[in-house]
Amino acid sequence: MNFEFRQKPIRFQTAFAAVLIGLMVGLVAVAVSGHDPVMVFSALLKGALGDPYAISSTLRWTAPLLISSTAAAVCFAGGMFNMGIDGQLYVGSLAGTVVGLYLSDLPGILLIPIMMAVSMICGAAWAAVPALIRVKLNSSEIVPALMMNYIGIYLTDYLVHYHFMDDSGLGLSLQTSELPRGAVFPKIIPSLQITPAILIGLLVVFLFWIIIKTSKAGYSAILSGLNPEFARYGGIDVDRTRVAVMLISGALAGLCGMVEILSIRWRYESGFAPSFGNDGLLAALLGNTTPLGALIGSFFMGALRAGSLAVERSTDVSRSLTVIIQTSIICFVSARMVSKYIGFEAAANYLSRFLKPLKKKGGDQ
Amino acid sequence: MTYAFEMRGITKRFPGVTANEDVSLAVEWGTVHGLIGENGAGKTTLMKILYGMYSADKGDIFINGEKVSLRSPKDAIAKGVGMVHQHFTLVPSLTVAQNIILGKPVCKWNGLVDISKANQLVDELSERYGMPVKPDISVGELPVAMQQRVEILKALYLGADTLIMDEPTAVLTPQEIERLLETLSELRRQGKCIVLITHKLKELLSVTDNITVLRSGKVTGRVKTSESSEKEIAAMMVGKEISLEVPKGTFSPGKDILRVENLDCYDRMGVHVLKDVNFQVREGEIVGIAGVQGNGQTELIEAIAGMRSDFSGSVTINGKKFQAQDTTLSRRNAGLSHIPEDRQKTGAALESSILNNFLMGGLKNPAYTTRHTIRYKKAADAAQAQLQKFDVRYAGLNMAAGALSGGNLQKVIVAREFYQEPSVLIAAQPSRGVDIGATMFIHERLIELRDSGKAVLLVSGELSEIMSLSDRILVLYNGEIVGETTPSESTEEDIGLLMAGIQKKEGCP
Repeated sequence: MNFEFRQKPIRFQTAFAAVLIGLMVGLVAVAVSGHDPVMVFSALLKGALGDPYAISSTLRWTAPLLISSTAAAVCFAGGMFNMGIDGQLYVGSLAGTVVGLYLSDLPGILLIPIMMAVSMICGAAWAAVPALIRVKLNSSEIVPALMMNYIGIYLTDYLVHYHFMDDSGLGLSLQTSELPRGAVFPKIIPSLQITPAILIGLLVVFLFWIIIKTSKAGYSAILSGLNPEFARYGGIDVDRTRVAVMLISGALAGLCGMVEILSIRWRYESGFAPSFGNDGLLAALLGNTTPLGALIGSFFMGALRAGSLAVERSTDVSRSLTVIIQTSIICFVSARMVSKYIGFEAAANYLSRFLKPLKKKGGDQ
Repeated sequence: MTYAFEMRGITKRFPGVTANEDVSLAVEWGTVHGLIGENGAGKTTLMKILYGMYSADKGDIFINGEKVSLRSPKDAIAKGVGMVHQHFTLVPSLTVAQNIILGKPVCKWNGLVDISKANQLVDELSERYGMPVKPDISVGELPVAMQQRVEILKALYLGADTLIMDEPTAVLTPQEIERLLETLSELRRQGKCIVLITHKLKELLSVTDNITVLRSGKVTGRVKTSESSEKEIAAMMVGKEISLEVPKGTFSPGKDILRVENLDCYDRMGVHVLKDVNFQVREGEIVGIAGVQGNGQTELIEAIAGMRSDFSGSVTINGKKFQAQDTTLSRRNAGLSHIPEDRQKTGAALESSILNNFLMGGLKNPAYTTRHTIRYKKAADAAQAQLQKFDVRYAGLNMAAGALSGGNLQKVIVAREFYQEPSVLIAAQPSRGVDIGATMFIHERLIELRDSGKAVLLVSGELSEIMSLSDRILVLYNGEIVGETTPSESTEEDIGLLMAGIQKKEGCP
């Protein structure tokens, strides 16, 4: 059977129009539920970019998404589909946290890299299962990766509950003890949420870019993704490439969770990273699996998340608004056939025509 | 008198290309009309307009004297136009009769398909046109030539009086081609109008009444077949007189450079596709493998190139022995290059840039790579120089390979495989679907490689190609090498018989 997964390139205007229409659908949903859409959306915008605190909140959410979207994009580039980022993230970050708690006597400068390395190794190990299923059994990697999410999430809950539960507090929440203060990220700007996490995120995207632009490995991965038969014919070990991108993706997933813990949570909590995996996938898809696209996509998703939390604080509209917007974006980007019928392609083309003069004007000034 | 169909001033533009420009074509009843031209000349586009698959930007179509507007193949079929495509549109698991009636099923009173009546209809049809088929056998079990016959019957069943045949002979043996041409003559006798799209001059001259030549979307020649010659038509196709012969240096083979020993292979379905194949190719020699598609050529090439691992036996390249588990890369490192059979699926990544396509297989080349990185600037310089040497026409190295025409893409692949300076080259169907100009060019390069003392293994379904290039010919039939000869010892007919599995009678040369 044929399990070749190949992502069709998404044009910039398609992504842009999908985002706009997604936002409009959200607007309609708000209006239908009896709220003032203008007020809600200005709260969303203000909560995402309105003041230094809002921007720091956006960056705080952007940081993990940069890593998880790169995790997704690396996989896409190599022709694989990692649906298991969430599972790899939880398994990796619990392992890293546990090692951090056991070695808490070490100085932070040593312990933080160790924790990050452990989380990456364990995330990669979790991703190895679907990768090997793909290349050894010639079966799809998508469903096993998805199933490994549930195994990973429940396994980590079990481990926390029976082995690593924090017994200092009330003992009711499913979480480990806190990491020592010396072994978590300091705030770069006091009073704002900005930590080295955002730098790590940018570094990951930068490395992705460098590897794609200059290395043989990047070339091999991309060509294996575009046409595995051609790659095989040209002497590239496609199976090895597939396992490699999946392992890298798993390692980045683990790193994503670890960075979130080091930066914000300081301890492992059950369900601490809600849908980082899916948001990363969406950001990577929106960004056409390129490094620059991952950067923009993550920033957009981060802003949306920060904004929707602000909306929830200031109005009685639920943060599910984000979910509506996100899902309609996915629909409009992927459902080409449907979108063709409702004139979406035409809208995208119209928008791009509208954008061109804008770009030109920018050039003149 | 009325024409079977007439197209007047047809213009069709695709983004960036004009496929047809002011093309007029009129064909009478009871004639076979040849439509010939290089790849991308617009032959297929023109016929797809007549078949309602494309609509023309300008121009009118008359069928049997009546002006028509064709919005889909359904309209065209209703007007009596049928088309047999290059790639068949049959359902392999259905029977012959089921396939034929698919577009217009015959039903019993309860709405179910009336199989016995369908079988009967097919019998009548095949008798009337002299094309015997068994109606109740499933199409997947039929050889290609029979499948083609089913396609023709399907079009006739749907009421086609005008039949368009798109490259019908590309997949047939010489004997099968002969039979097809007889069928076409029979249809002509019964008053049908046939349009034959082809690349092959010889069959065009043997069966058509009139010929229209297209070049880059325009009509460059209209001739009566009886008053024309192969040379004249070739000149109209490419726009200049060309010589169809390639000069070759003297034959002085050296030592064995590619040796294939006891190659035996069962495919995934358990079919014995290669049966103990043994041969060698020497320095300065072109060995041609003749055979009808599907007789083990693909498996043979893949086994030699290391693209499959389900065979036994060994392949020796430059003294290095390779077995099933050895990789493609190790063979490339030993000096093997490979122009693959299917340039779009195996030979290129169409979505990727020309440069990336050019780099494939050259990741060890010290001119533009270091241990872990590719120096894209240097690679671009190398690619530019090499592609210029191979006369590739392209807009820029960052252009997607899929935007190149078939002939240009093939030239990119040939240029790439030559750039690695191979000592053995496998050239599989090097001129399939490539126009005459590019074919000549590729042939010249292959001869050049041979004259410089390299080994070439040429695999082709095109017998004339094998005959004009090879020093030695092996015939592959049903996974076995059934004959070895040289172009001077045998005629095309002799080899054609071997290709069809008919052994030479005792005593005959």
